[in-house]
Amino acid sequence: MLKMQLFLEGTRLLLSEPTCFLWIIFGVTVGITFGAIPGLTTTMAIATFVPLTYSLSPVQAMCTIIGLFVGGISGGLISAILLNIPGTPSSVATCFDGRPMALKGQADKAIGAGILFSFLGTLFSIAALVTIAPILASIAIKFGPHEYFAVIFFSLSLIITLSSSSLRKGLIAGILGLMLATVGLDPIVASPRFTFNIVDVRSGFNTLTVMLGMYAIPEILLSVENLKSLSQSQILQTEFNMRGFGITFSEFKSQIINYLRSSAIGTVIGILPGIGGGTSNIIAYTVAKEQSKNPEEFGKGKLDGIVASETANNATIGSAMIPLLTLGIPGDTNTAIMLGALAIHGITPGPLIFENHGPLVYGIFIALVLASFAMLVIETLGLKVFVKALETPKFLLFPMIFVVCVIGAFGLNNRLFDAAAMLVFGILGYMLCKLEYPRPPLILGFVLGSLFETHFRRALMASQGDISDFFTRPISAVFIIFTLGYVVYSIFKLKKASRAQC
Amino acid sequence: MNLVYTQGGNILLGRIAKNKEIILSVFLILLSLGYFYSATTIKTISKSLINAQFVPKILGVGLLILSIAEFIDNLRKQPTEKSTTCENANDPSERFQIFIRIIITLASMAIYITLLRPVGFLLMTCIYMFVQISILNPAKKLDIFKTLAFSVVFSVVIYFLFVHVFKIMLPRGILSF
Repeated sequence: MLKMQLFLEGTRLLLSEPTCFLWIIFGVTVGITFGAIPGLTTTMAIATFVPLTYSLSPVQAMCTIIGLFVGGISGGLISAILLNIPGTPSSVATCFDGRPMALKGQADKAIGAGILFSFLGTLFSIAALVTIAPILASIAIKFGPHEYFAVIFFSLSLIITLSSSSLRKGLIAGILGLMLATVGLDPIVASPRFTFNIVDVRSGFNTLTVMLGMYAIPEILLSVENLKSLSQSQILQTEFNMRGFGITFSEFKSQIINYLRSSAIGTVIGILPGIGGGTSNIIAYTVAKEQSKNPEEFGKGKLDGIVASETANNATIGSAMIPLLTLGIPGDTNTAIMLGALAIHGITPGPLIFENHGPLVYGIFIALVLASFAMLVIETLGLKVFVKALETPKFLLFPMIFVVCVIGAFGLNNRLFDAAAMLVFGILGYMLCKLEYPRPPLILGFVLGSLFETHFRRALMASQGDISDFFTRPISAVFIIFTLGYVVYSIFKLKKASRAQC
Repeated sequence: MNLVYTQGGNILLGRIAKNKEIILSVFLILLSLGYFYSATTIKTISKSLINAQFVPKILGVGLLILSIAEFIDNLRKQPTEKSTTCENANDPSERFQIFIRIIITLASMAIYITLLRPVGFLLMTCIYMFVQISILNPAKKLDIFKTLAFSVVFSVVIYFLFVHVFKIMLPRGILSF
């Protein structure tokens, strides 16, 4: 079978560079640490450490990033349960039942179940990735610019509507992101745009610079505001002894339906470009609560809540890579950085990636599985260490992070410009935060901006200026009409909500 | 710090905070106008409507419309002092102090980046870490020795880690190693 052969090729690729396994372990460990510490997110971890993968081979780089991804999303549960502060946005719903369970002295059960189901959730989405990606790639080969444009249009609309209660603010943020993407050379004709005769600006802004600026620096500035938070360490003084995974076999069996349902939710949300772990954990929790026979027990320390949340957020990992690998469209902010990392190693994701880089892709699949196992082992055995890491005072942590960010930005092209741009974006991100503007639409608007424009113009050039082609080609029409319908629906929902408040 | 300055600063910052939405919408309006104007100067090769200027122009117009809408909306609304999700519960009288801290943080970040090449990574990072930790440290008394030691150790470790293990070039600056 061809797939078997490809798996073997992937394995051979990994074995030919045995340091890959070390990189996976490194990535998972750092990822869990970043995920566990509130204020540091998975995206920050990936953005900060991608620069050190420049000197590595593509396989090693991907192993590191995958480790960071898997570890990062899972690590959030540690602080969610012990501190009632989500370590990353992907673990917000874990707090709801994690904290009560910890207060009841069941922290070990909560954490154990969280880790176990994070692991299982990741495996579910990897299975989805392995089955769906090749199929999607074969469909996507027939995609033309109309189809790509429609998918990007759909993802941008999705992220804008879901990101904030003010549609207008989300839209403004999205447009700002798109505007940032227009800076540089025009993607089709290469005319300089908005460069103001500064040479460095001609190549446009780098995704990494924008990411680091938008996510890492505002956290530092926000902490500066509230000095009290900088030295807090209020670890719940619970004695917990992890025996196995803390849950009994019958408890495990009772969670299976919850697991399957939450994994499915996480997988679907992961595939949708633009949204990922941050959304899926809350939705899965809500659905679990609604479908439960005892919804009133949620929020008081119900195992189902943790299982739903942690399964779903990890289930977005594998599926977020589906649009990334097959279409070159990132499934969430983390895969957006991966896109940049792949580009640096000369790999352009898209439908042809299976033909051009088959062994690498299957190596990635295998690395994902390995990273899941690594996460399971490391997080369980190393729990006490991670809890210790949580106690690092922030006034030490944040300057360290900033230095590493500067190295990352500067190390891209050895230019002062990139580090300076990162700082400017940092100020911008900070102001967005203070003014309650959502950041994800800006980021994704920036990341998808040039693709958005390129496909739009190519589509019009191909159909000779005829817009109706967007609506006559089936796939394109489906996405665009669905998007328009969804946007109208969201506007109605928001209007109804605001009317209800009056 | 002079009490008058602090109080004056608080009042000024308070006024800005109350009207921040309006200030922002005005800024966005100006930005969209500037952006649109700059877009019209982009060199175009094709004579058709869909050229290098097309998307920027649309974005500019879109932003203009939205920011005008925000502006009008905010004029109508009573400027309230709601606390945002990002903003921590701050005493208004502390506003000036916080503002100064942020300015100093940003300044040290900017100076760090600017002097990175000339002075060199190792030295500059030590200086930056020392300054930044001192600013952020909420402890009443600053343990200079501990902070200095930490800064130096961290800078050295990071330098060797990134230069020799990860092979990223970092500026040597004025030091000889």
